[in-house]
Amino acid sequence: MTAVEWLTAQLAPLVGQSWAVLVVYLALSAATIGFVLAAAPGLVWGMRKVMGHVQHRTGPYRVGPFGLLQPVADGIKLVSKEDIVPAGVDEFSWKLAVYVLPVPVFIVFLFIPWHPGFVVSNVATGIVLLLAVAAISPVGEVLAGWGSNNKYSVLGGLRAAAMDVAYEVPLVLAAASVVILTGSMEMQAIVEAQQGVWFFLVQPIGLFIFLIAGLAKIGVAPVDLAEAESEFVAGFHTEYSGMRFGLLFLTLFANIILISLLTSILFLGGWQAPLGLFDGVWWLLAKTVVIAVFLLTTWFTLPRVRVDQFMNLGWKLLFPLALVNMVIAGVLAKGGIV
Amino acid sequence: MAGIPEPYLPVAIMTGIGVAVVFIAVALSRFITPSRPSREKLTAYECGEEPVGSGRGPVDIQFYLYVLVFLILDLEAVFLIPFVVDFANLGTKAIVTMAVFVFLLLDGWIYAIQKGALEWQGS
Repeated sequence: MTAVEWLTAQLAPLVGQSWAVLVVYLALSAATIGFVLAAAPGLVWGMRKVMGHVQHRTGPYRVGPFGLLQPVADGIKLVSKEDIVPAGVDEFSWKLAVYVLPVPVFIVFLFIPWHPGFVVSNVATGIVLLLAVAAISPVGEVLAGWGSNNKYSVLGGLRAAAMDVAYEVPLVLAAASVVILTGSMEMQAIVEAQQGVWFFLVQPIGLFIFLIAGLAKIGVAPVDLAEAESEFVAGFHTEYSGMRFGLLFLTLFANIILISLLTSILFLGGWQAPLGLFDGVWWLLAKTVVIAVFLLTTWFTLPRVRVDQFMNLGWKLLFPLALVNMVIAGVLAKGGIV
Repeated sequence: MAGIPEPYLPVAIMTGIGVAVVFIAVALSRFITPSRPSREKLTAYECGEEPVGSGRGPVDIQFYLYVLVFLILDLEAVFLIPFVVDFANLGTKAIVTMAVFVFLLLDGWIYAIQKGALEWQGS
């Protein structure tokens, strides 16, 4: 019995089946968005700390113990900044972009299998629906860039979209290799299939492709081509300020958490414990933190790649490599090795 | 809950909550922040200079070509995933059929490379 079924069964005698389902889903969705809204500022703190130590500084340490209240201070600053709507913007698309970018990221967190038997939205199409919803971002980027009526924003938005589409196919194909090994698209089934052998052991190329494509999706250095400060000021963020910028910033960090979670789930066994010790959400979170710190150190260590190099890598190398990787996964599945 | 498959219900709920959260965040800041617009503040950022012309000039055809190739390859990915779900139990005929399909699309990919459609802005 899954957690959602159990909760519904507890509530059903009180308010009736339909209302119980609705209430449970409402509560769990609210909890999920609460997690995202708490974890993203937490990651902002982690980002500043990691960045500080990578650069031989301490990072934030004045606001609260270990600077833990720094994100709160940032939040207050962002809320109280003047709401500037530049004169030339196309107001409809400019404002719409602030909805189109964060909301799909919130939705995607519903499909994450947190704990044995606990996933908020246990859809049969799991990973496909997840990647499909996550793939809405180029639309928001182009809307934001075009709506801003700023030369840097237009170029930044288009480049962000071009980068996203270039790496969408390798990302999906790397996930498809995992689907071959699992024999199911359900997120929970993918984690359960990794009992014993975590998929990064049999799919090292898949992990490699997924991490690079994930980095492209997040769009931070070394691949921050869409908001390269020395080329585009801030890309499609340029004309946003105050709370609207805050929401775009939140999306960036929610995306980092999302890619870290997905890498843990698809390749590192999700909530599966090493040596079979106490499976559970704590293992998923521990693996996610490891991947997130890895992504952050990559961000702060490597210089930016050139745009034509990175586009060529996606279209001409990672795409065929992902297909080859699928064939490898197919052979492994046919041979009954996994 | 008539007509909505149950596990998909949270997606609808989350869309509502997400839109509400964004709306409230923006409205809240509107409520508490000062509003002192000036001409300088409202111009598009162009390195502190007067903006020249419209921000939306013509852009390179490259972006369009990328999206065209993306459509083809993403379609391939979309067809591949349902196909591979039960891969371990598929017969030879099914696999050969899919291999032909993938080959046809790969042919398009090679054609795009030969035509230079995947070169970043004709470099």
